[in-house]
Amino acid sequence: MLRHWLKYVSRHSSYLLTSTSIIKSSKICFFFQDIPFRIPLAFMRIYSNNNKKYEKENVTIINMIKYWHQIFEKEKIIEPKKSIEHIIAHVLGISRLTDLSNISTMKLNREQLQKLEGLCQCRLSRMPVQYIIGEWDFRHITLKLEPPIFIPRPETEIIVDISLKRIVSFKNDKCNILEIGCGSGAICLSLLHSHKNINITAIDANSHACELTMRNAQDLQLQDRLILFNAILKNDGLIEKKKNFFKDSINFYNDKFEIIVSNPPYIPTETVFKLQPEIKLYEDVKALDGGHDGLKLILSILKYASEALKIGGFLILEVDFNHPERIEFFIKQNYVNKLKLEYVHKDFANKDRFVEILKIG
Amino acid sequence: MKLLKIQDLRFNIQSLKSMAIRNLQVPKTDVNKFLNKLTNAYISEESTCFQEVLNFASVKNLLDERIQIVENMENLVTLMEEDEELKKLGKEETLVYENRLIQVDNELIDLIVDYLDGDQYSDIILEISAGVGGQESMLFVKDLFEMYLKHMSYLGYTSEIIQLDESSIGGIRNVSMMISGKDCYTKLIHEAGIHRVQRVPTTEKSGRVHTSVVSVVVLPQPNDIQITINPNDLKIDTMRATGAGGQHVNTTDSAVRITHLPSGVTTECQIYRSQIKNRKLAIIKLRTKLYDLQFNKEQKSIISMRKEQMGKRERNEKIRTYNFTQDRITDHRLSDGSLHNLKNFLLGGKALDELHQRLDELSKYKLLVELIAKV
Repeated sequence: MLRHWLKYVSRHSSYLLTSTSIIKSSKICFFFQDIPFRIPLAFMRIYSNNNKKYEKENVTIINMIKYWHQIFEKEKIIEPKKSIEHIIAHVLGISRLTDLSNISTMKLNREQLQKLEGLCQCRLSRMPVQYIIGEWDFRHITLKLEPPIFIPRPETEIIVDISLKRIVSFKNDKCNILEIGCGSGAICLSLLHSHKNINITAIDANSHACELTMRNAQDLQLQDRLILFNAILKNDGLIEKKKNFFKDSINFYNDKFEIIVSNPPYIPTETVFKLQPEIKLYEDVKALDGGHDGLKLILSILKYASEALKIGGFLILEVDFNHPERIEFFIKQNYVNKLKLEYVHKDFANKDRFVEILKIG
Repeated sequence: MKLLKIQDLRFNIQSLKSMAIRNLQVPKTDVNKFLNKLTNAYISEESTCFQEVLNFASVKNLLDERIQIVENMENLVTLMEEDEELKKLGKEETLVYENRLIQVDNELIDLIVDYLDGDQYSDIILEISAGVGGQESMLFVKDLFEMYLKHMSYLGYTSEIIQLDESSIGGIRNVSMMISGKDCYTKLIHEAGIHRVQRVPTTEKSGRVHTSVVSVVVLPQPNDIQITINPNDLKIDTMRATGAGGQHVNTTDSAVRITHLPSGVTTECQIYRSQIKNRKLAIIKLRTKLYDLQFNKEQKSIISMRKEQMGKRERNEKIRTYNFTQDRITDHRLSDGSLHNLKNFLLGGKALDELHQRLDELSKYKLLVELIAKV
């Protein structure tokens, strides 16, 4: 059913969607609201209008950027210019946009043009640029990204800084670190990349996310120091393993950690369906939806951490800007002798975004 | 009195420092006057305009040696006056001392001139921006930019574009790049200033020759110690500053703008896909700009003032004209600064490097003359 709809909207973007993509049926009604059917049709109209001009000798990079920029703008795609620049750079195999200007009069060949058209159609269907070009940078590493695995946000780069400082403060390279919900592997792989001696255990509920993290780890040659599990953190604060990718086993009931880091879903359910189409259509809703107040997963993590952290260990979380107060209140209510909200850090936009919770007893 | 006598003697033997500077002669008497003053300042330990230079261990060592040599020569002269037999032996020895003295003096002058010529930086930021002349000027920015890129690879320097603003017809409004390589500041500082271009623009239909200008700024990149920035003084803006941020938004925009609140200096960076990398680069740019401000600040000693003048002069001076119709480049700082074969020059190879060497000699010479005149 879902595939059928998607095909109807855009043949091109549906083939980039994977079998594990999770879009609830409730999403489809929002689908209509934001992505009207006229898009592919409108696109065809523009395309045929310009066909004549297009077939001429004008298929230089600079002209193609102008051409698609106009179409994107007309269709109210956000960041129209940046989108086409990223896509064209990807088609040409260039990693930096500034390099485009040096070859702006170069012509595209037929294959490149075809690829460009297919990918631009994806963008017209609001597919995020990161999925279209299949990769994005996070801190100093480049990650492969594919739908529907959550695209790392720039704010999350800061949680790595916070975690790194914390790891260094332990002065113990052997310390146990756990990431809950690794997605594409942004946090754990950045940590491994920046700190050459540590090992990290990571879990994700989505087996597709685990596979992606594994592939990214192999690309970055960090797989030796990563232990990856396909596991679910349940509401009662217990972790249930589904499948592990390695022989070495970790017992989540007995093993204790110095650091637990996570960027859990924290958007309230209502808000999830009001997000931009790029997010709600293509990203795994499970990686965003934090229950009715956005705290559902956070509370489970608190429960798990209250047992699984060593005394003096830290739980480091990315949360929504109104959560820190509520987390502090919740801790005082339920874990007064076990946990303590030690620090709240702000993101680039000066919003309270990160919390560090200390295990005290 | 004796001291003077010895030095008079010396001039007849060999000419001084000026030799290193091709075709440009500095009067020897002046050089010696300068060096004597420096030595006196060193002995008397009074605080003078030389203080900055005298802080260097290598300068101190050389001055110690110089004093020692002069003393020895004085003693020799006294000895020679007393004993006729010793005169012959003494003459040979004097010759040895004289040669050494010349060496020491040359080294001293070299050190001081190098010091005044500015610190050595292996990292700089080079900015090219269009000036009067509209689109044509922007097209020439692109030509110059390409010339520098080629020159960087000729010299084996690494360069990275950190900002590029294109115009609609393919020119560049302004571009800045980060350049790293040994002595790259000393070489490229000669490019700083106003570049004038005279040609028939591609945009011009009636075939008239237009004159437009382009400005080039070279900023040395300081290290963390030279400029320390307090994180609390920084206001960091991102495109995500409005709205809920975090998981709520997905954009490809990772631009960062940093404002240094005490000075009001703002820098921006948006070339990387990672925001943290953009922020790092924006801070490097900020540090460079702050350093430039400080560099241009008034300071007390002559030496510092000299530096300040240098800094200012380089900004507004019309340094070079590229005349396409006559196939000629003229560097206005050199008396015979005309070169032909513009096309070859724009390839950024040997021709540009040779010009830089000539300019380097010239600037050192000018420095020395001015320094001597001031003292």
